[in-house]
Amino acid sequence: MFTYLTKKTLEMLITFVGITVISFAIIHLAPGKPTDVLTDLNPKITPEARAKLEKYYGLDKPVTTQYALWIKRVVMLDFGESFSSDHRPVWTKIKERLPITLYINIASLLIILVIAIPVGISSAVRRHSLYDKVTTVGVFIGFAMPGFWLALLLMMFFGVHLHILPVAGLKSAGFADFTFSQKVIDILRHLILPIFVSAFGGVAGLSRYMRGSMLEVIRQDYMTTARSKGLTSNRIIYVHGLRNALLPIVTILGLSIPGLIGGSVIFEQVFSIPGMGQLFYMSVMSRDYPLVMGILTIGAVLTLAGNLLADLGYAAVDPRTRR
Amino acid sequence: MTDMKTYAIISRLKANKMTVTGGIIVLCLFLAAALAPLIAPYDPEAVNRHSVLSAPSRAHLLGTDDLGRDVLSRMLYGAGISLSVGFVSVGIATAVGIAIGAAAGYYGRAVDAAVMRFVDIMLSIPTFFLILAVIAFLDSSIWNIMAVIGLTSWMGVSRLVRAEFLSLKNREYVLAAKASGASDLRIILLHMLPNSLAPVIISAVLGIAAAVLVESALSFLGIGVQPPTPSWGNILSAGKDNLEIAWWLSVFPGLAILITVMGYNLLGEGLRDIFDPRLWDERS
Repeated sequence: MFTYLTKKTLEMLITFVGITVISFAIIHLAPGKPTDVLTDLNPKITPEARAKLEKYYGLDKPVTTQYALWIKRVVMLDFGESFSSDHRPVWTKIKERLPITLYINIASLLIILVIAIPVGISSAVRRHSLYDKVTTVGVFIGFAMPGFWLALLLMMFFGVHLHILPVAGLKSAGFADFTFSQKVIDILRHLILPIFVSAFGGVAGLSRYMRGSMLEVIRQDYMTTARSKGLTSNRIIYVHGLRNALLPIVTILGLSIPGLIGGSVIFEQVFSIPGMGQLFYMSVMSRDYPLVMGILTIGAVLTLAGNLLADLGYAAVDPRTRR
Repeated sequence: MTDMKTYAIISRLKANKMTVTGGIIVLCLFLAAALAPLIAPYDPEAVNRHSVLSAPSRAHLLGTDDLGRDVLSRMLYGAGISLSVGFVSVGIATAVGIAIGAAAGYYGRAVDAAVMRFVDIMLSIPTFFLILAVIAFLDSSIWNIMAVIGLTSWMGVSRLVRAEFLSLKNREYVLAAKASGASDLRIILLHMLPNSLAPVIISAVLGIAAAVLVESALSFLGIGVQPPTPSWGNILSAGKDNLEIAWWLSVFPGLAILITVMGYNLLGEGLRDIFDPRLWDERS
């Protein structure tokens, strides 16, 4: 167990350094000095802001020193000041936007798991049945569905046509005067469509993987053994089969986290949700470089945290890895 | 036994049905893109102030957008954008993926360890964030978009090629080529690569589907293909702004994306079933 943890920590450390190097390289993507391009593209930048940037990134020093200085600040969560007119620290801005993005992603992840795993298992068990065929068609549509288009269609249907769900933001007008339970219901009503959209593609993908993984397990010798011992088929599937079939799923969940976080840009923008994705979009549009860099780094750290959770989950499901 | 054989035949037919459907969809896309100048009823960039946001009619089969431009014409030209972004970015991703995967699989040891670590790092970055950040620092020309999508999606291919190379590198024909003094590059390109192409082609076809989705999302957000150049994503962006009055702006381009992506996916999955020898006799 100890060596396992050491190995994982070391791997994470290397990945973190790698991610920061790539992120740092992006600052230098712009031709010439980053500050030169800033002034060309963004005439609003004052000489003071420019001097601040040069100082922040230490642009007069060699590249390695620049990286060392930057990473030292990043570890302290100092991403500098936003270019926008409020000049607030980047980390403060991210901090107030992060929770809602996390809640939505966690909620959609839970929904994905709760729906996709049973669907995948049942279509594997009832392979080639009508049910299996219908879910397979559903999966192909789910794979191909652009999330933002689904969002538009739902907004059109539930918001514009039926008028039963709000289509933008998190709170209705007059929110401040609501009672506590009204507030909760109001926010939940605003969250139904965004969570549905962000879970949709994931349900299709994961149920497909679950089906494949379960089919693989059903073929194994120990399943035949269990059957020949005369165990009931439910017990065989859910006790002997499921645990083994879940292993690859845990890995895939870990791998799908970057996609979920990246996707938040799209649905937060479509539904006007004030989360980190929308903040990132705004920072890209206004070329607020410190904010872009800050969110890029935080997104990567979140992914790392997700991967760590997936590794721990793997260890929980598979005792062999703990040795 | 006959049972198994019948099953095998059925399953390959089914695979073929998928491949055929997917192939037809992709072919239609090529035709639409190639014939757009001939069959498009209007100039896709021609603004017409007298027919702003008009619903589908005989004059404008799929309606017009907020500047009075014909949606059908814009969608036909948009097919070309979608195709070129898909193929060029996947071409870049495949070339990079093959180079990196081949180096890792062929040289093994330290090269392999370092390269695969790099792949893991790339997989841990939210790709969509990375793409947006790069576009913030450069500008959103169509070439930059193709390059960025390509350079952030080669990891799957490199893993596939590495795995193939690891299993091929001790085969007799490779060892024989080595013993007869062939250069590494020659062995990799002429002896090993042709034998590991099937999974690469399949993953490239599926990759085009993913690239089409990313491009349309970027254009929808206004960071991708810039108007007046038509793309399905940027028509949808106008659709969002006129959601309450112009359903046709949101429905048709999205349907085109859905069908296109499904076409590539069907083609890719179908090819996988056909190429996978494990499925030929074993699959029930």
